[in-house]
Amino acid sequence: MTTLSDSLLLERIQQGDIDSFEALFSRHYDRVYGLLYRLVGNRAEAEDLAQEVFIKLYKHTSRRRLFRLNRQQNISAWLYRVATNAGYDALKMRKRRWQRDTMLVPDPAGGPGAEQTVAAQEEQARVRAVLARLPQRQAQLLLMRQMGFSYAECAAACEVAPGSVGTLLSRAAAAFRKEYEAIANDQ
Amino acid sequence: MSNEEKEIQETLEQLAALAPAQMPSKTAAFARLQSDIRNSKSEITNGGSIMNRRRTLAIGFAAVLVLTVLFSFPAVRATASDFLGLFRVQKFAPISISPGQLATLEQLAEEGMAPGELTINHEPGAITPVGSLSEAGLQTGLTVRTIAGLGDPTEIKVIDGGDGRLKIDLTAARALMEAAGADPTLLPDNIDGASVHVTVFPGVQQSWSEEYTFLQAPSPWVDYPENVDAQIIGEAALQVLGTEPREARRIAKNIDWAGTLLMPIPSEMVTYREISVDGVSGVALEPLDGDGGALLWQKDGVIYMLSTQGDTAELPEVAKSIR
Repeated sequence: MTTLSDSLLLERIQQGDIDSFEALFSRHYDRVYGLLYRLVGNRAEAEDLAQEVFIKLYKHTSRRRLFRLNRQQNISAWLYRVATNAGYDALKMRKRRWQRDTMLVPDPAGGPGAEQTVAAQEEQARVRAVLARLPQRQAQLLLMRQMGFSYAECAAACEVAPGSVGTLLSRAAAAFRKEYEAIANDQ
Repeated sequence: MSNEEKEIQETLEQLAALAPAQMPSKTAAFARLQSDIRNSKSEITNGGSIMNRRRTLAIGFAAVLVLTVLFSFPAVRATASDFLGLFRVQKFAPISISPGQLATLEQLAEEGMAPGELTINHEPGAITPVGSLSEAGLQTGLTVRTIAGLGDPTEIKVIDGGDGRLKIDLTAARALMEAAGADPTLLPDNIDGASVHVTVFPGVQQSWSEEYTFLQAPSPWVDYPENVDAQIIGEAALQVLGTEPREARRIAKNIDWAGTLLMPIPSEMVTYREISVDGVSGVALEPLDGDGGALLWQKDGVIYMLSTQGDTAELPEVAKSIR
């Protein structure tokens, strides 16, 4: 069975083909949701944010002039970039409501298993707090790499040269380690 | 495996703790998406909430401009206003921005394109009701003026100021300009790494039922390095807002960048004209459809905005009773 590329699906979507939009949605939804869940740690919020990302994609495909110009762009890179920005915007909204240092609320009904120990929940919260301290690009690189994105995909989404991903990941990991130890020492 | 590779691997293993235990149903998610898209299309067709929200945004644009101008619209704020040197706003330069260019800038903002690293040290806009004009004056340091002809305001609020810094990344700034249809070569090399610091001061908002609103706040400060040529940066900002290059150059040459704030006006929603108010020259903003409007002016280091949901033609007369 022939799988259409993202670019070809986009072309069909611009001609009003809803099946192509559903195909693009199915192809990328899990990873968009997965990235958002890792950022915000809450299933309902991650689902809402994922909806916003795909609504934006839908609206932008209707702006034919813009997307015709950008057709050569990597649509998946656009999606994960917009998803990351949406996740960080949501975190900023939370910080405006809460104290800056409050640990993010863990998913009440569906984090990693009902049998998850208190220690595991605390570790999850700690890791998320560390991520929140990193520059957005470093956090995005680490998360995408952890999710199995290739170096090329990471580079496209983070708008860096593919050849620099290894070095940037190394720096991000070092920064993560440093912040993790700082948080662990504070507790 | 090198130590660096090992550290990366260990970090990725720690991050695995964040993975969701289960994925939501794609079928249900797509059905919900279709429903949301249908609902948003219906709102646009009916000229309902989305258009009203945009009109309110247009009318309130000046209010946002007065108090949080540099933080309300990422692509515009970062390029249009942040390059205008150390100054206190003395006058406004309204610039029309077309619907197409507005859409382009919105898309670029959604994609996270920015001319550098923006750090907001203190988020502006928090609102606190107060009981009197004197209390508002104490909190803001302003000599609070009021519209005596309207009687006592029904509500008085203090709106918090804020400040932020933009560290310019020349490559990113040029990419943004190119994406916005502007000439990226306008930006000189010497702005790379330059820091622009913006301070917006607390203001006072008075309301008379839902009919009139009167805002006042000290003019914002913008601090930028002395070796940056404000005229060239202003010309670049005008191009980003969609002004044709030749026109952008002409306007840039005729503006006193030491004290002028660019004011982007969405051309499909709002018209503007120069008007005399409070003994100075100001700008009158009116929506293209429906009622409402605003007067905006600067006097003695304070920016003022008087707005109404009713007949705009009454505003100049109402403004005469400012005390």
